Amino acid sequence: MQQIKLKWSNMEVIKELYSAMVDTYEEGAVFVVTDMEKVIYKKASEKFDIPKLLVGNKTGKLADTVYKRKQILELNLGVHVYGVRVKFVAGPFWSDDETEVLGGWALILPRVHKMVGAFDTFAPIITEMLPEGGFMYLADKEKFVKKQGSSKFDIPMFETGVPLKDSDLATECILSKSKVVREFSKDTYGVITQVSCYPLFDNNKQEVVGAFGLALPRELPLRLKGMADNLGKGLSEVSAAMEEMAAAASEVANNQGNLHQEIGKVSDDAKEINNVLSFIKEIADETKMLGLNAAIEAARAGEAGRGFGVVAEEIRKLSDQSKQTVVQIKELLDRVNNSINKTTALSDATLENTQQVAAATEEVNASLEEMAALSQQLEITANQL
Amino acid sequence: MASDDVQMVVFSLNVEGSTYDYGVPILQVQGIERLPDITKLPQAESFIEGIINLRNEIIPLVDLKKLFALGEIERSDETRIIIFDVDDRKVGVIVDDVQEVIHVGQEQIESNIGINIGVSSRYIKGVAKVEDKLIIIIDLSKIFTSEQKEALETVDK
Repeated sequence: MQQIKLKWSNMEVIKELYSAMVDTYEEGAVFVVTDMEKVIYKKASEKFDIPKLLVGNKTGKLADTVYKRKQILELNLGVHVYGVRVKFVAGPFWSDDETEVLGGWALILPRVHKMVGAFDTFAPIITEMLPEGGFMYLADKEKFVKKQGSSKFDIPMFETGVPLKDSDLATECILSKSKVVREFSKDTYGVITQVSCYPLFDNNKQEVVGAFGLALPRELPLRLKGMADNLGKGLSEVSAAMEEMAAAASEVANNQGNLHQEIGKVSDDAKEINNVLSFIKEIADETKMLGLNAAIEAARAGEAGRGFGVVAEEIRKLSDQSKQTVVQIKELLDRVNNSINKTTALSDATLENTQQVAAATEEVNASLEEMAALSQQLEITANQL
Repeated sequence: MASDDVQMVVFSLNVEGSTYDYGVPILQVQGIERLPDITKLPQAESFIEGIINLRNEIIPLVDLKKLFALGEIERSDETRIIIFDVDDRKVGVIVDDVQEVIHVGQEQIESNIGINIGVSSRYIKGVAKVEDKLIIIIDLSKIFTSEQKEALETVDK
């Protein structure tokens, strides 16, 4: 380009050529022609325009520099010149004899960060790929310029074109020139959200030109953590309940033991009663024999023994009744013994059941310990997510 | 109590699971005793169980069931001996139980059983119907044959 000297007389051809070319630039371009005082022609692309640069505007310092140096100038201009970052290429128009500069031309190309250019391509795909969805945005140094939500997660209130506030994470990121990460509570975006913001550097890696932000909902890990918490609490409650149960089971076992002893005592007493009954029966037998022998003696005594015979008969009857009573008591005692045996059997069965319960409780406790360990692991894992 | 009533001592013998009642006139009976330890006699007649010492008297004992060919007495708490006189000499018979002394009216006694009962008719005097029971009346003085009496005589000689 440095060697080319465009002629003022060829201007019409050049105007037409560049006018056709501005729309061929990917990010668009603006082409202007100036005479020595003002802008005399402007052609802006559909994609990019500099609205305040108008035909009739007085030329400024940039044009002066071109006229003075009389050569092609290539500059990267910051936002302060045209409100956007641009690449500025300008050169003089020469007289036909190439001795005099009669005007100038300038091609102004927007300087867009690669990230900005690619955003519309990658953001819709990446946000959908995230397990819980995500939200991405881009900011230049003044405002938010692009945003992309996903079907699972979006921040509808976020609008592009809104100027950055001091409190914005993007502002902090741009000022600190480093990555900033922050967690936001449910109150901010409806769910727990982690927002990371990365500074975007100029091509020369020195100047921060904007920021790229990524908001990730953190519901799942948090829910997982909550579940792990609840699981842990639940398990310790179950464990406490099991301990109570084990204590109750051992008390039941104790009580059963005592019951067993008491039943044993009753059984012993019943045996004692049986001995007493045998003794009573013996007395009744003896009495009966006495009665019989008395009756025999009375009969031998003849008429004189008749009264005594009646007494003897009464004695025998009484002894019979005594014996009958003994038989009844024995029957009752047999029933009592039966009941004792049944009770003992039941009590033995209960004791066995209690032991089974105790064994089962121990097994459950072992399982609970394993589960508690798992729930702790789960909690640690959830915290790491 | 009518004057022609007979007083009887009722005892029982258990035969093959059933209990049969027998009665003996009270005046033939000297007394009822429990069965003490018996002293067996060598080479004695099989119906003689042995001898006992009852209040310093030596008394031979006879198993009534053996004598009646009804088996053998099984000793229990109820086993008793009935002491009576045979020719002025005390003898005891072992029975399964002695139950009571009853008064039996002559009208309750059936002397003719109506069948020939062979040898035993010597000492069975009849059958008394008391309530719904039948009591076989035994004459103790006739239960031994003269050979048996002789055998008993020799016991303490």
